[in-house]
Amino acid sequence: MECIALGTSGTLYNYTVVHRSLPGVPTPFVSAVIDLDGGGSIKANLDAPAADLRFGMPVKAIFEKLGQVDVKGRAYFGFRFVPA
Amino acid sequence: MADVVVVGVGMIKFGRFPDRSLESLGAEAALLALEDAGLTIHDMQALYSGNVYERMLGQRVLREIGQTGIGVVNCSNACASGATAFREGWVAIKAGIHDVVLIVGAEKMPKGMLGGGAVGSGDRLSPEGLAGSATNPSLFAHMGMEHARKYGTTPEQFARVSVKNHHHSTFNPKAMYQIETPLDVVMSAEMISFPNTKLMCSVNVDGSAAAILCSEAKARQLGLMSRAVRVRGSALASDPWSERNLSMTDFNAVTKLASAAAYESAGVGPDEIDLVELHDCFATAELVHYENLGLCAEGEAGALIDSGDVALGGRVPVNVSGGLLSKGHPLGATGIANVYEIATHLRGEAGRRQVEGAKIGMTHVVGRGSACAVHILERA
Repeated sequence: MECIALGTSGTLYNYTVVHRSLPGVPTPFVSAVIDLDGGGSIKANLDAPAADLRFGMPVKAIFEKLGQVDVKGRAYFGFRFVPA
Repeated sequence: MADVVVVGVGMIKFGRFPDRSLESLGAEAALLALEDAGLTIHDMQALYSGNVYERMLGQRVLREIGQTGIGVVNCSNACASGATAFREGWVAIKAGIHDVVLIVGAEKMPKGMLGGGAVGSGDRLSPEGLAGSATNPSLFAHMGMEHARKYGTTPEQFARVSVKNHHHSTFNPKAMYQIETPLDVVMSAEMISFPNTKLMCSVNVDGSAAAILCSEAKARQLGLMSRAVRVRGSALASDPWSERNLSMTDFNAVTKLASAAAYESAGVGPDEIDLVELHDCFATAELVHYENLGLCAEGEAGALIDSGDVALGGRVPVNVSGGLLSKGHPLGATGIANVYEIATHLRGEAGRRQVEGAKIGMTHVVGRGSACAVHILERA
């Protein structure tokens, strides 16, 4: 096994706007499949208005506190995508 | 190898049965299939069951209808569990190990949305809603959106699948719902995962179905050939590796593998199929499966639903039972209920929803994980 650094930018391959999810999950949100520049594919949230979504649009990853904590109060740090 | 025929089928009206046990549902379907064949549990040499959410369904059914001591195989293969049990019975007869077996599928469904994992349990956050969505409605929405990306398929075209299947169900007294849903009603229903509205999602119900499989030689000996249905082809596949399979579950490649193998083993082509019961867990899925099953060329599924060719009375009616969208989708029973529907048409016993002159039919299920089973049945 070796670690490979994936790109932090890419293009929108596929998406759906999720209006109903599991209980407790805030909606709506955009579930997106991103083809990363340099190879690889990842599913993530994409923060963009539904009307702005276009297949193939350029996007980039941002890393930040996700605004949720677990039952022990630990904050989660993660990634989401925004239009580039 | 032995030719295999279906000599009995049974299913209960799908619905919600909070006061009944899983085994009582399974036993009722088993008895219907035995009665249909004119056989008893004492004639059965083995039992193959399909079920996802509980354990040991086959043995529990035998406690209801007769503990004859026969071997039981319980199959769990997500939404393909019932079809997997059916295929295991077919394999045993094909191999000459048994010549009459009972297949039973039953499910009591949990409430709510499937997939995605629990939220707020344990000390971990669920990735649902943080890293996209992994619920079943979202995965199958992605499946449809990939088709829209490639071919420009519209939300209206996906919605027409639901209009059609709900219409078909008005002719099926065993469907959970028998309600017409015009296009504007389907499209203005609560949006779940774009483009699938609530009326484009399968119905979460309890249910059971059963079938009796028999070698053709044994069926002739028993005088059961007049209503027999031959299993012309059977195939089971898992999902092959693909570039995006970890980020976006691929239900297409697995279905293409299984359908190609089923056509080859049956020695028939898509043009010879008179009707299909396919896995319309969501409206988006049905439309894409038209291509995966070879009912039309790549990219032409949107035109196919628009043409009316897949509606009752059309060239190759799809899901005349009402499908999972309206008949309901009790996971372990679904694959066997598909066989019930096709066999009923091939016997000319489908009443107001009869596909006239049907000689060859196809069943298809695909379970997330993934497992796809396709069977091709023929009037014997």
